[in-house]
Amino acid sequence: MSGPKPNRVVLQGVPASPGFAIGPAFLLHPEERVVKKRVIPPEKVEQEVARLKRALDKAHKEILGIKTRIIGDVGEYEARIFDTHMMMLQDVEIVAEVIKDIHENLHNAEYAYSTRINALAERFESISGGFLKDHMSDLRDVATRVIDILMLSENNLSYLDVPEPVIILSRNLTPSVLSQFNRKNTLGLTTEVGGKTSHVSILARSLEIPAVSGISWSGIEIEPGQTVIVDGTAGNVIINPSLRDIKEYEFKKAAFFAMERELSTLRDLEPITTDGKYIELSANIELPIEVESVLQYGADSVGLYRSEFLFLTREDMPSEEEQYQAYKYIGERMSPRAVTIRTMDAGGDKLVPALKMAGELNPYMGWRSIRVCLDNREIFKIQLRAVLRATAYSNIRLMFPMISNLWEIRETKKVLDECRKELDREGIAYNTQLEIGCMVEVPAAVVMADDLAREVDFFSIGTNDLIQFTLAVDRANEKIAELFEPNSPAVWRQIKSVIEVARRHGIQACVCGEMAGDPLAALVLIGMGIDELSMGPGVLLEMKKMIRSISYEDARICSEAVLKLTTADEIGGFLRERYGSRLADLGITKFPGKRASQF
Amino acid sequence: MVSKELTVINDSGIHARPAALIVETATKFKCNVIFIKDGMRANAKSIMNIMLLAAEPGAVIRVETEGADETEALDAIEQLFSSRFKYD
Repeated sequence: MSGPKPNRVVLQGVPASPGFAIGPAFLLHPEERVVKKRVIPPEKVEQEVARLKRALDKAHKEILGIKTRIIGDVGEYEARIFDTHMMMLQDVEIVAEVIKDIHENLHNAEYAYSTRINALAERFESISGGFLKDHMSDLRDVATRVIDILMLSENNLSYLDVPEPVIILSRNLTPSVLSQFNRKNTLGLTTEVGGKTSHVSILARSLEIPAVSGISWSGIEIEPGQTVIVDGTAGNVIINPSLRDIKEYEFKKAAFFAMERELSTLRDLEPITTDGKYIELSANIELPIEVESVLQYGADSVGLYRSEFLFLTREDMPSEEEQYQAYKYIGERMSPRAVTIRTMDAGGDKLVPALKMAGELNPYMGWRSIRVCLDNREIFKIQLRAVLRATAYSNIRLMFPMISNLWEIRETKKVLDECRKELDREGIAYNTQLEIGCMVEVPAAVVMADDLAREVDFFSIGTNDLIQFTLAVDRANEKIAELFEPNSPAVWRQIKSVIEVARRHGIQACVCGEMAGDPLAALVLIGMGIDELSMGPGVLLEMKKMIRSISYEDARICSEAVLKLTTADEIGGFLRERYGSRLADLGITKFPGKRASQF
Repeated sequence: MVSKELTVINDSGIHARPAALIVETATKFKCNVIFIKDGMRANAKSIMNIMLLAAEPGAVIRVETEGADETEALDAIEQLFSSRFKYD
């Protein structure tokens, strides 16, 4: 290598997925991107224009987010420049010219857009006296964002065809983009936005990709291919590590793998407490391919298949046949074990392009999940028919997300009945004994659990949303990440009451949020009488190890103590004091969720 | 159509911030708002158009408004000019 040795830089972020990775940097958002010219078929023109408009909307939302952050961190005055950015973004003349170019010359949106920006930039430069020079970079900044979005959030497989193992450095890596990378070539990743409970972090943990979030590398000089270390356990990133760093991390990596290997001997043992209570351990998955890792870790079932991931990476809706094939594949691969398919939980941070979901100011409380499905019954029915058809072949259960009142569950069951009748008429087979359940993740559903229980065969407690709604803490907002407190007594007491209701009605209660994958929280859940815990496949074996080391009686006493405590700190402190060192002795150190840092 | 010649009297000319204020104001009205400087015409609802006029202090701009609310729009733009674009 010529030139001076690049500087070693250590960045501190938030641990998002445990493990260690050393490898060459792959910059997902380089400053200059090669925009390729494509000619689109005339019948796709409107689709291309729609794609442009969505990208502009998304960029607008991102800039608005930055502006809000700057107002809080620096001040109103400094944030004013983002008003200018948003105006540049929505400039009527630029947008009109770009759309005209798409229509008349059949250019792809990113090419039409970048051509227009380059032409403007040239005119800027030609203006004498450098009057507008400062604003050139503003325009470039806005344009880069739009082109990034256009090139990344849509199907763009060729761009993501990375030939060698890399570490992805990104601003905002979405689950849909991550899922387009070849797993074998993804050593580790960093993101700028999102925290531990963002969906991309959850996906990284499930795919066992070491990840760190909260890493901003604007202002840090880095070239593609430079060596980077990602420490997903501590939340560090080292750019241009020293030889000593590399040695140290090679060692850590080896120790981590050894630990993983040891855990794998646990695979064939039963998740049973010392006093003989069997706890069903299931896995949460987002992609059909994850079934392989579920089997590898010896899970009892798939407790949560997030079916919306079929809808996120594409412009159109997957057909009934396509969905049916995906559901059937998972069902058959897992058979005779059960698979719980959750119907499309779109919205929040998971926008479905084909539904033209606009960015909302308060997306988690907005048009999402079952609400979207009940408003789009034709689309909903396609999914329900596909699931019903798949039930003919394997042990599939059906679950509905974000139910917040009785009307929603009753209406949903009505739609399901319509689908059953259709299939009957068409002579298509399905399992007439299909079990259906609902997620309990909105406080209103906790309050109404007694009535909801009469409508369903099982409950699945979604702790991520339940915490978010109970504590009024947006889980995507890093500024209040510390307020996202799973140990809040308000959360624990609700969970206990839901489990009690389920027991009274003789229906099953499962927990499928992040808490189920946290050994300390799981211990309390077991003590409260939970039947099933569903978590990322990567934590299954440690959980089994924990379960095999405790008695149900002890967990029960512990959960009763937790319910008497009145603050999150007391509960966290109590659990750590009582079990922290015991778990550490078992070698259980990689805790997902918030409490990792408190250990 | 109504029109008026307005002079840029702030200290730094129409750079990004004043341009943003002009767009913000012009967009409030339904009518077309056109700025003309040295024969160059700019849509006042487009920040890029306005910035590319490169109107420095002392520049004279002909403002034309055309449509149902043209008078109100012209008044609002004139006020913006005479306020030295509020902040600058």
